[in-house]
Amino acid sequence: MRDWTHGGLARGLLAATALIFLVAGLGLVAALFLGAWRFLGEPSALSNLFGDFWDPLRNRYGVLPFIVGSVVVTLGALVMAVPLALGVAVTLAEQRTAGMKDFAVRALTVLTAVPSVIFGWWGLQMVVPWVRARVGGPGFSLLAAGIVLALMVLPTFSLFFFQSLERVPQSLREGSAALGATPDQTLWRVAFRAAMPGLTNGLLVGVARALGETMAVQMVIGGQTALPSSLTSPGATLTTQIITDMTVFPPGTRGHAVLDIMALLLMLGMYVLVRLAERWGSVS
Amino acid sequence: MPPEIRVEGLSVWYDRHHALKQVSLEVAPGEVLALIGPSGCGKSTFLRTLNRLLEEGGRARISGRVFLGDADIYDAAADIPDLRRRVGMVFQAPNPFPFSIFDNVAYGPRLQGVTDRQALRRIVERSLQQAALWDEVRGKLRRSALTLSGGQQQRLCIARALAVEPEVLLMDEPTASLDPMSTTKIEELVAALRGRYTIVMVTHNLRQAARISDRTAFFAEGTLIEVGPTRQMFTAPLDPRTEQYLTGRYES
Amino acid sequence: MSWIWALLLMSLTIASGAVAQPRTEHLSILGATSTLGYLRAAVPEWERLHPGYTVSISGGGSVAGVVEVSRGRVDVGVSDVTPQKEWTGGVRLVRVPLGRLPILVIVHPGTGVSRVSAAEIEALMTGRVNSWRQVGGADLPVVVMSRPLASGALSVVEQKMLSGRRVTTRAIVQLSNGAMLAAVRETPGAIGFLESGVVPSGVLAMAIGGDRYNPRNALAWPYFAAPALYYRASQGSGPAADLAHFLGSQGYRRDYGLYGAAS
Repeated sequence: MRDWTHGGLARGLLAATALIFLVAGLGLVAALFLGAWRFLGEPSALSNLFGDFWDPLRNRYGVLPFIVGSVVVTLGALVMAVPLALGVAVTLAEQRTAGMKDFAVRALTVLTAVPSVIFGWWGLQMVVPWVRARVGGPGFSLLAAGIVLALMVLPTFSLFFFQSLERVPQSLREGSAALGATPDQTLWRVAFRAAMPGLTNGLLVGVARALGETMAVQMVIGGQTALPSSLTSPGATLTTQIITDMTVFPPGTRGHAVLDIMALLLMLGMYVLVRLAERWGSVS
Repeated sequence: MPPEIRVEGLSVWYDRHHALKQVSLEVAPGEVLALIGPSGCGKSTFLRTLNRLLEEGGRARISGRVFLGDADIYDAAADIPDLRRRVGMVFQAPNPFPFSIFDNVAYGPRLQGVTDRQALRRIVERSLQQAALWDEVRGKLRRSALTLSGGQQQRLCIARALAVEPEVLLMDEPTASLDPMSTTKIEELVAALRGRYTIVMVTHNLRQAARISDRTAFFAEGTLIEVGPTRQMFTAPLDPRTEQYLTGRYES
Repeated sequence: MSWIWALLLMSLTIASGAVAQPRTEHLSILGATSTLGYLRAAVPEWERLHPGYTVSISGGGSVAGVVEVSRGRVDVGVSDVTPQKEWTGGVRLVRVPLGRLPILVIVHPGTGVSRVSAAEIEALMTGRVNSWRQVGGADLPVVVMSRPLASGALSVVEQKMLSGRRVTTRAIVQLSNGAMLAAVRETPGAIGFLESGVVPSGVLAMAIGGDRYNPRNALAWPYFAAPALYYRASQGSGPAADLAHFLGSQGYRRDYGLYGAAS
């Protein structure tokens, strides 16, 4: 086979694709900034923006309830999914037979590809009634959204965690065992620490998926625009509110500018997370 | 005084493969025993039976008895973590944990529940001095162990093994991946540790075995062919196979 | 490398095939979801009467319907609400009414309330009453279900039923008419509103201030959306206009909850 990456035409094509990607990415951010500027340029835009009351038809654009919603739902999903995923990853990593590992990895990979609307539908059928019956409130809630998200990111987390544990060299495990460590001690004190960059990386991918997830969350969170008062009260996240109000604010309107700001906030949040993960993920 | 090691009728199988056949051997307290022999002769396997690390892989079957002092380490009631505390090990390739230098050396003591910072600091300093690494890393203990050179990493692994105050030190070709300078340092270190620890060391380097060991054991095809004082082994071996190996004519 | 050329050749063949085919005209309809059922039933008939034309239908909401038709991105927009200048950008649209679509207030059967006064419905929907006991029902919290701001039904409810007041911000927002029905049906204490010509099973339809909805006398019910089709006036006698007027004149709209001719 010819090394076609070195042909002139092929190289041109590759460069063009890279350029398109770059322009599209930067263009998106630029478009969001331009859209957002219309609102950000106004006097007292920030105090309006970080208020807790959302009633855009009366020019009240407080996005605080959605920021709270996004953070609470994502954190809730992490609290539920991370320990479970670590359990799955450890169980798999301890498996001695390669066939079992292969099967589990394949199954998990398939699960990560399940469309989110399926999780949303399942949440509507199972989680919402369960929360209503067992925990209280109307069922549509931050809690329900957190549970649905937790199940959604569980395969992603498990896969990443498992793979980073697998990459811990056998020599480190042996070194630990030779010093008198029990398998548990080796796991907690060496394997997890050595796998930390991979673990944080997986965590980040999962958080990104949770934070950005819209459809599954929208179906169970209730879409309430007031500041949520508890885990069982309905709420909204930045993404679900964007999809709810997108059609009422055509581009160019003030409301659309606020939706642009919400999208920028999401990107900013992800950027901060990536930077944090880079710091935590590096080995001391 | 370190304990003696007494091995009686030790056999190891990997699945069908009979890797070690009826090995009986004694290691005197405080001596350095070198294990030599062609690749795949069973000497590394033998080494790993002495701290029961062979069982970590899960595939090996072991029969026979190994006494450390008076106790059979293959007794059903034997405490494996305690055995491994008493029998330290240094591996072929340096395997420092991806932690700081300090945390590497403090790893073993911490496993045993030492949490006092002062005590840990004393142990770390003492172990690094014993491993002849202290002068090179003092004041840099917070740095990652991975920033050290290969030879320094291997001495760090020795310090890590010494930190739990073992009685026996197993070394599996500890200089195989090192340059001549670092090799010399490790050999000097082994010479300095002789007497305080019972040392069993696998090596491919015959001159190294001749330089640093009190006695030498020659393995071939899973069998212990011959064991005796190093000087005698290298000058007048009893078994013709040993002579063939030492003169480079042995073919397995 | 040869597979790349094969791929290129294949796509070229397909593209040229599309160009060479006999010309078909494509029209698009987009907007309020409440009338999608009727449109999906009626459009194939128009297509049969007009060979060479294909029509696509998609939802997106009333506002989107007006915006998209004004900007020329679709041929016909569907909307429950009166177009505002901010949406049309000054483009002149022709309105073809589809009739009245009743908006029912539905409640979960467990509330024990099926008749309220005008003041009570306002108090319930604006969140001033939060237990059904306060309006003579069970000891259950009131769970208000609403629709997004883009919903035509919501604006009708707020303007006609709540005399301009807003549905409580504590309301749970359901993205579609169907989701609203499912949610009210399953949530004890729920109250919401539904665009429908019949009372679905599993929920109660509220009588409000003495008016009770009856499908046989739907035009007497005071709360309704008035969905309409919009096309650009500049397309005066084109196929889009023909399609819109055809859809506005089919008698069986009633089967889909659309009553009367104009509003």
